[in-house]
Amino acid sequence: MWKEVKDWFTDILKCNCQAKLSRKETFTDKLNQNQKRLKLKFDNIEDVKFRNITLTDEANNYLEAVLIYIPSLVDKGIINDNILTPLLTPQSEDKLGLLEEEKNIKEISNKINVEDITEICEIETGINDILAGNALLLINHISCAVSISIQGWQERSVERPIIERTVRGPSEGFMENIEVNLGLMRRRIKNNDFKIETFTKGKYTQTQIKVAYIKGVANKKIVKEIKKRVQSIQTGQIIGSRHVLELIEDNPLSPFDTIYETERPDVATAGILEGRVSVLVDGSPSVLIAPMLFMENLVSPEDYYNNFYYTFVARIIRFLGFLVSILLPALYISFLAFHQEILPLTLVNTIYSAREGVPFPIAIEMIVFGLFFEGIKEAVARIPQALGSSVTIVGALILGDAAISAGVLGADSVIIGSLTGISMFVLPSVEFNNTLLLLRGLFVIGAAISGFYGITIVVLLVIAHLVSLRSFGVPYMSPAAPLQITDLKDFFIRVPYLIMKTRPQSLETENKVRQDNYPVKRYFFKYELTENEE
Amino acid sequence: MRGENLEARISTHQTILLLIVTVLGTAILLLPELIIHNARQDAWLSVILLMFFGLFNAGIYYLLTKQMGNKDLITFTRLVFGRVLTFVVMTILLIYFVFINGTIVREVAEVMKGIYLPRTPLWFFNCTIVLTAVILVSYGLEVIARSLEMTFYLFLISFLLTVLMLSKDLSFAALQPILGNGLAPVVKGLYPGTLFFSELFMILIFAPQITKKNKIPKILTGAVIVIGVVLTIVVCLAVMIFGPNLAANLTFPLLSAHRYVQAFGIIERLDPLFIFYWIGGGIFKVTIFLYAIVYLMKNFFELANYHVFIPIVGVGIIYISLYYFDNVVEVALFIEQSVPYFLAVQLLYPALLLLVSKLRGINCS
Repeated sequence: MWKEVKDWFTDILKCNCQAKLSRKETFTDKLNQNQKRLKLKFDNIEDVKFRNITLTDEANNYLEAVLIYIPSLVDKGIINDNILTPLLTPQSEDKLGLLEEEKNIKEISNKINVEDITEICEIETGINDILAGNALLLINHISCAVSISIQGWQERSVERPIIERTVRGPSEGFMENIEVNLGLMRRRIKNNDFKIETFTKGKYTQTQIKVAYIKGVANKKIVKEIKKRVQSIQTGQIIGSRHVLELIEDNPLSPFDTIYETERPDVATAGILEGRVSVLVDGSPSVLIAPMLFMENLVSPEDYYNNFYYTFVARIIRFLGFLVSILLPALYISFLAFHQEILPLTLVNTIYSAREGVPFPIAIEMIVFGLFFEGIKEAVARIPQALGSSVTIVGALILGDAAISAGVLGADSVIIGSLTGISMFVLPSVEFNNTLLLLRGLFVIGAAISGFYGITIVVLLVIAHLVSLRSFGVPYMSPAAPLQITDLKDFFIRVPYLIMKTRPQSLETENKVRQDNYPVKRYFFKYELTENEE
Repeated sequence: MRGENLEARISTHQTILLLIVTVLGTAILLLPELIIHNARQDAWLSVILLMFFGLFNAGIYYLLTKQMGNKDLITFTRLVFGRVLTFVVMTILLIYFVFINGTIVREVAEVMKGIYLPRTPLWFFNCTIVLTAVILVSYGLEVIARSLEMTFYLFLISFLLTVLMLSKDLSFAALQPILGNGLAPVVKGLYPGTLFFSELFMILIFAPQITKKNKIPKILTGAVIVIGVVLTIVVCLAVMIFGPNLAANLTFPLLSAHRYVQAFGIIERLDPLFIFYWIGGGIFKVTIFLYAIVYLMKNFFELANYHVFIPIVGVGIIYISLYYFDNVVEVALFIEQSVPYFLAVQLLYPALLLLVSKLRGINCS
């Protein structure tokens, strides 16, 4: 009695298990059935092509098969030359044994001359493969399908990076294909410790996201955290690398980016070699690097291809440009509206006599001019190139000049506004430039309310915010606060490569030593050249 | 805000800067006048004596932190004095901190209003200063320390730049005769300085959060030396530029020195630099005191974080700073009269705590 009940129970459980298993549909060994199910799945999709073929041998035995693919995603040359031709040509010493009921799928797939072939049994995987640009070969009497990777769609080739241009250094840029991007990085790091892990995210877009790092250099905890955050993405679509950046960032509400976005493979690999982790997103020509420090906003890849004395000067100029572009309008307002006493009398006289008749307060003038400048920038970036020069001529030259002579804007405000605008372009990072717009506005408002007092308050608040940021656990302002003296070697100066021996301390890398050059004798006398070597 | 469950940790370097700004935040402007008023040309001797007083204080605080170990001030007080007395101590500390913070806010605001922005209402300064401090405190001690690390050297550069610009106008003759009127005026000049130098007792609040506790003597001596050197420079600057008699009559000798500067033929005065480090230093001082009281209250009520107390104490500080005093003269009078009370909290309380804990043999390290 007890046994019967137990059996009954196990039967029910088994049934449940089978029901669960059968939810993952697999291919059956009847071609018609398979084809019908796939056609049902691809209902109302016209660009999926079902190519019915018949495999024959010399003895006129035949076998039905169907090749399924999306023509716009695949390379038709490969289909013709490497799949159809070998399959349809009957060969004399045919070992297919088509007469047998049990067909060996390996022998058929051996005839296909394509490098990447996988055997799949689940319908769901098959559908995803077709949508990703594979061709699926279904054969009668065989309950598995062959997925053949023959992607070949229209895309641009590797080109020069547009935003991060340099005079020296490699001029390859990332492109939209993730495999090519990975190849660009692989070519620079030839080591088996360079690890890549792939995630597929987005219900509709099925976007590949790859996390790349060097095992044994990058901090384990940072790698784990990044993988955890990428894994936790739950979204229907992934639009680009920016989308991923905002989804995995530490401080999504901060105006400062705490993940670096680059379109240069040399920058990405340099970051990885320093112990960072990079995240590649398919379909986006830029790669994310984390963790990021604030100072990297002011660093250009060119710094590592130039003489280090010049790098020092360039970085100082960039830092000054940064300060000028955020502080100059605010300082100008506070000097002229609140603290005239610090300027010499003659200068104050000149400025004020030129401003005579200008109706607006200085603060309003600066805000209007700032918006005007941003407007021109936006207009020139968006309109067709042929019209660009006319906008700049009308917008900048005629309007600016007319505004001064009409007495609407003071000439000195125009000078200050233009200086601010130009110094903005000293900074290498576009994203950072856009952030500075907000900061500049804050400083201008502070200065307009209470002069230097307001500026000081805003400085303190901005610094407190910057200092509170962290990028994957690493303090954002790292070499400066908390102070790390060894990291200052790549802060304002870039020391010569010969003495750049350790990786950045603040990244907490596992392998701290970057290089260990033995002191080589760096000079030799002339007689050593002329003497014969024994 | 972020990481509030983690115990904050600050480095040796950060603690030194925190202590320096605690004392110098207001002392740099207010103390020279008080010292020069009595000690005249021997003011620098007063400052050096004050440094010894500071070192003596530092000794007491160091011994106390050694007794405290990982316990914070209020928990340790509870262990030593018992629950009832701790309640009394906490009340006194709350009153002390609100009053001293209100005074600091008022001083900073009065200098700005009186000299630079006379038409701006006083409440604007008081509210913005306290609001900034509140934001900084709500970020936590680590962020306060790191922002200070970023800004302190800017303050120092602004100060030293002024000194450099003034160096051509200094006359060493103004410092003579040394000890012309005997030692009495020098000692008299000490008295108000004791208030500022015993503010080093903030180390008792930072102590449990310092990463390397064995560096505390180094931290204290470093802070005292930097404070002493800066104050000596300020005092000497004032006396050597204006002469002892004029310097004694100036309200803010350092500010007058800033207005005396002419640099590069384009800058007539260096007031903005002064505003920068006066406001910056003042806000950091307010921040540190506000942090201290909310931290102590958190430990008194044994809560997980202190964010509840920030608005309450903040409103109290704004109230004291706006309505307790009528004008600048009252502020100055208040500081002069309340030196013994402040000293009782800053010096007597730690000394008593040390003594009783030694006698009762309570050692938490």
